[in-house]
Amino acid sequence: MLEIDRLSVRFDGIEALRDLTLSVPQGARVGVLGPNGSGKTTLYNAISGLIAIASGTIRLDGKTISHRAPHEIAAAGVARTFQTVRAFDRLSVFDNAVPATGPAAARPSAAREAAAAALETVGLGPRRDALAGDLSFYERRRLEIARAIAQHPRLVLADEPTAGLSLAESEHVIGLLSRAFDAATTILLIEHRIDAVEALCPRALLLAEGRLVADTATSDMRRDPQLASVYFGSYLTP
Amino acid sequence: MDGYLITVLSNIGMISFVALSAYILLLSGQISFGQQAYFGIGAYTAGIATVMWQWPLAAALLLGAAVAAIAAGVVGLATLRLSGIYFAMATLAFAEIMRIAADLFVYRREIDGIETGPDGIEGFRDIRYFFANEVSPLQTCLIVYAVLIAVLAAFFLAERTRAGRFLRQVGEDPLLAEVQGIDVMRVRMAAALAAGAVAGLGGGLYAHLMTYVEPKSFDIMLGVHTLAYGLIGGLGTALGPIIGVLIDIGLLESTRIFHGYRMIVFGGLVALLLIVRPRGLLDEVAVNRIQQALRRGRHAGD
Amino acid sequence: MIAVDLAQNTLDGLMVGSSYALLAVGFTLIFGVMRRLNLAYGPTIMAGVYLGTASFISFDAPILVVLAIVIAGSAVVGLYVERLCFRPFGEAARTASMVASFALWMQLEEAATHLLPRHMNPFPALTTSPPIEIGPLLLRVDHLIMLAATLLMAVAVTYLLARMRLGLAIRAVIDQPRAAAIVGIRVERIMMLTFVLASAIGGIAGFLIAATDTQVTAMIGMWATTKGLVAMMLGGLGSVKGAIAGGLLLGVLEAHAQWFLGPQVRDMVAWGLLFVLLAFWPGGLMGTKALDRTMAVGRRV
Repeated sequence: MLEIDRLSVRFDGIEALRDLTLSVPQGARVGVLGPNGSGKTTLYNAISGLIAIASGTIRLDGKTISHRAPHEIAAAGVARTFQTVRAFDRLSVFDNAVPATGPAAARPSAAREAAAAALETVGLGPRRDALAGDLSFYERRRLEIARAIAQHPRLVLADEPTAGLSLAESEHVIGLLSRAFDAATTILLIEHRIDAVEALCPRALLLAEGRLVADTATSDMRRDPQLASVYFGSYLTP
Repeated sequence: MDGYLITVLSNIGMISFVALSAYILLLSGQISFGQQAYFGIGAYTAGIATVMWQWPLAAALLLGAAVAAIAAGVVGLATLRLSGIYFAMATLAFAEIMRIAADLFVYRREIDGIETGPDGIEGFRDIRYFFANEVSPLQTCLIVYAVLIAVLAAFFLAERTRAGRFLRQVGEDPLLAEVQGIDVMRVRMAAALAAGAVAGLGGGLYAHLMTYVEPKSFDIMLGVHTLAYGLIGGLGTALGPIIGVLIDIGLLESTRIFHGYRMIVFGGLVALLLIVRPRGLLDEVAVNRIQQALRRGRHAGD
Repeated sequence: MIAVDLAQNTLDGLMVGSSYALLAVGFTLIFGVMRRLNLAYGPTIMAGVYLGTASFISFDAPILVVLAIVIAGSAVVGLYVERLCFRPFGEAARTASMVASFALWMQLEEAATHLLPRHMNPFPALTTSPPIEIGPLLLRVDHLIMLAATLLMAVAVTYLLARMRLGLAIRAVIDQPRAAAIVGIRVERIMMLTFVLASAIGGIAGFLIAATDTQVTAMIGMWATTKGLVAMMLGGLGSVKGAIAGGLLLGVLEAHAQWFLGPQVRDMVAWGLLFVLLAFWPGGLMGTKALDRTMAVGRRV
């Protein structure tokens, strides 16, 4: 359902993504691996419409979304979490979770129900009236996921959702991602920890210096020498 | 009732409109130094409607609000792409252009044998609707507050709906709002239109209460003041800017001892207050705590 | 003859514009290090000029002493503003510090009227020499002095920023305050020094204008704020050279507008030009920074 064709993105004088082509079927769970600066978050930004695309196309469910405004892409069913958690700190937890787009958003009562249910799922029910700014880091991570759940998206772009969390907390978060979305939802997961990727995603992509270097089953990726060389710096652009 | 008190209360009521106008834009994340322009446009339009076209007051006020909103929309189209300080400067520039244009605006007609109408720098005199219809000062004050309460009710209703939530989300983190599916530009434009209308409505009331308006009244001082009211009173609720107005005008009138030193005292107090509460007295945190306390109180009663 | 009028207006405009340029430079320095608008800047200058005026009226102080008092007064008041409005605020409270500076604007204006209650006050003249004639053109000597002083200040500030250690530190703080802190620059101290410097420069501008008008009115605070702001925005926020260019340009345009279209249109010129620029060419004089960067995510999100 996600088709990316020869995507190139440039900013600040660097080619952040070069000629990236990949295809993800509906319901797939795909990990996105690669060292810092390899273009993972840039890929998400390109899909969400937050960054200008130099060339190439992105298609979601057959519709071209490259060059559309971010809110239109979100309305097409894309939900996003951020590496450094972003929330509306001055609004309540509940107001943060109420979806602005998605099947429940049209009717206020449905939207509120979706928010309440999502907050229960992530375990933030009791905190619904608190300000998002008052939450702990772990709670904020879960709030981001609740927000995505309430949106009932077609595609979830999760950007290092376990960064900064303990092992137990990380397991819980990955568990949420795996259980809280229905089977038709496609999930992309950027993570540095391969065990987190393994728990959720049968398939993984490897990015290095803006290029897609490998696209295999996650279990194979573990043993792939390219993975080590990309992470430990012995990989060089030819 | 004491005539002086009525005047003070009426002033508080009217300035509240412009304060609410700047507040809407502050919520949407924009600083506007120019809401006084829409106050002025509303004042002149409503005044012209009643004095020179013999319109009834309600229709004139609505016209004032509508024209102000349209002006705000046009300005918005030109400026909402701008960020932060550039937007603020553009709003100020527009307001100053309008003020100077009012200095040059002359539209005179003979009504009932007397020449009336806006007369450039001299301003617009004899907006005597209330006098001609034998409405007492107390009644005019009540009219102002009736309209204000209606507007506040609209604010409170809006806060609970999608509109209020989107507005605050756009104001706090526009990128996050976009990514959630909110059309930030559209929300900002709606905010600009609403802010223009509210200011214009207040302006129309002002013109009829004062019976006289001049371009000088709509200067940068008014603009920055109205911005300050929301920031002092608090951005957590529409009552915030009203409280800001009360503090300023209340202080002005009640501390006659401070007569020559009002601004020195007020200015210093404001600066100190803002250090402690950058988003005002009734900021979002304070409102949240109050709401939570009220909820606990209600549950405790169960 | 129209050519003479044009030339004369341009000359006059450049002279007056040089004072705008100085005001704009002061605003720019403060905006550069603080990233926020100091609305109390004009009143700061007013305070300094009023102190100088008071010394002239009360003790018949000679003009150089008045100049010294104006500069010192502006610098001290600038420090007061910085301590109260800008020092205590962090990144998040930009609006609040700007409004606080407005509150101080009100405070300073009122204090000034207590010092000198009359609307108009005399000020020593820069010079009493008659104007120089170059063919059909008239050059006022005091205007020339003002222009020369501005150029001197402009050169001095540019030299400071480009060559001296303090200037380098200031530029570092303007560019990347966090990085500057990491390499050991005392950012808060630099901010304070820049503020005081900018206020002093503003004081010089106020002095020059008062000395060429030989009078000081209560409007000088508002004048300094509006002209300085517009000139700064015209030249491009955050650029000292732009501030100078913006000030000169504003002066010239105003001179022509006043001559051909009258004093009200002159006032509209500044604002009209600014509005049109911002509305239709946000990328133009200002650079692309003017547009909302919500959608332009080049940094880590």
